[in-house]
Amino acid sequence: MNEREVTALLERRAAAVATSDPPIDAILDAGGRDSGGHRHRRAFLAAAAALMLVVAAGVAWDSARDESSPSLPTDAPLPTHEGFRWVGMNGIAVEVPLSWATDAVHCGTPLSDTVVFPAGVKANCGLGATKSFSVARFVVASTSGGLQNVTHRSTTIDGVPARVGDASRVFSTGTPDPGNGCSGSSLGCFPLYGGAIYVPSRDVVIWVESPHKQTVTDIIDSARVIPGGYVAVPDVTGMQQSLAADTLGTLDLDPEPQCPGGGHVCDGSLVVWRLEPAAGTIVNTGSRVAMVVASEIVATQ
Amino acid sequence: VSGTDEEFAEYASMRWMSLVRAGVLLGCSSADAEDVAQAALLRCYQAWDKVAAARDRDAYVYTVVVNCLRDSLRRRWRGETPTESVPELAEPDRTGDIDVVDAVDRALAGLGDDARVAIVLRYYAHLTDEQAAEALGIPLGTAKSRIARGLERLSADPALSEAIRGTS
Repeated sequence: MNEREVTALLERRAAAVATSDPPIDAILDAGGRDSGGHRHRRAFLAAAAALMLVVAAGVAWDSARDESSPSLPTDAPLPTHEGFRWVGMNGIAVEVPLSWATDAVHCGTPLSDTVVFPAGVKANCGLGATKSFSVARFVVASTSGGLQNVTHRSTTIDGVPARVGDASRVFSTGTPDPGNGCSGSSLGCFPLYGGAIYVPSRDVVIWVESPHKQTVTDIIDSARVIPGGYVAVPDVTGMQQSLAADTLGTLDLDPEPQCPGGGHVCDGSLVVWRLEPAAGTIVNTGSRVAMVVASEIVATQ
Repeated sequence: VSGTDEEFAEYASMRWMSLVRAGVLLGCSSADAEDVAQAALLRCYQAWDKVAAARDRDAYVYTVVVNCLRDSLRRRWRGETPTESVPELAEPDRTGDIDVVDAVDRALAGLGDDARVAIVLRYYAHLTDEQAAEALGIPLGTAKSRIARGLERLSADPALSEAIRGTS
């Protein structure tokens, strides 16, 4: 049994736990920081969370981004709105809320993720975990076929030709059930919007899905070319360590294996399980990228 | 409008489910796990400035969860009445995935508290070895040792191996 399998089992077990709505109001009331004027807003947030956790993230995106002005830290490659960060692949980046964590194992924990995964990998880990909502999905175009089935328009991103499939309704989760509220989805019933950016010269497609159409539009509109001197950490998880190191090296990154049991020299045939910083993170060229190498523990049965 | 309240509400809404589920993996019933998660989020709300400034917000919050769980267990132990049967570790499975639920619950229960918490923090909460060590208040080497020991025991569990084969 390897580390991925342990994670998969834990997530599968965890997925069987039914939870109540998050008690946001109760916590705010008990916390003593309430100014008394936010009850309506909090009620809305709680309702959104009850529908689906990531809806709240979408609401925050829609409002917070309009109110904040971009700042340009000296070590940032692109102007970053407060509370947001850039994620990218193959020289193209989009801005997503800081709270959207990158799921290191691509298995749906937590639900509101910015996920970077290679072409051909479906947005679930095959063990019943559901995801793909409110995520920016990066798919290498050479194997995904670009935007073959999406109505798109031509545009440019920082002068680089691109095709954009604007946000449109792609499907709905669950089926409204008068007797039970919603059937067919443990996440609730709501429409799902999708959109995409295809940059042929960079061989990358960015798919964005969210219950909020505006969220999809905002993320697509944020797309930028990553400036020189910076690079997006590629997803080399699942690769053999030696191949992963070569891949990082070709992008002027400095791979550092973190081997089972410690140390930085280990069997090159072992598989990379996790990256630090995570795939999709924008870093300076030459940056060190730690490759956490999975130990292969053989069941003794 | 308090940005703190909204930021906290957004964060808590998104993490609520995973925190409760982590509590169940750590041995709580669903109800107790919700109590622990709520207590942890309340502490985080009261110290939100620190949480917001933390290098890794999730690692900080999971540290609070572990502390709340310890507090909860201490309170329960003081008022506990011994019984002949071991209480249920978690709510019954709602997905029909009974074999996996049972296998994982039994395997985690067999790890012992120290290794169990380390394994859940490392492989469910996705903390690094260093973050897990910090959350548990133990040296890095000790954390790595507990994680390795836990992995070994899970690997040797025939029911878990069967569960994996059933999903592959």
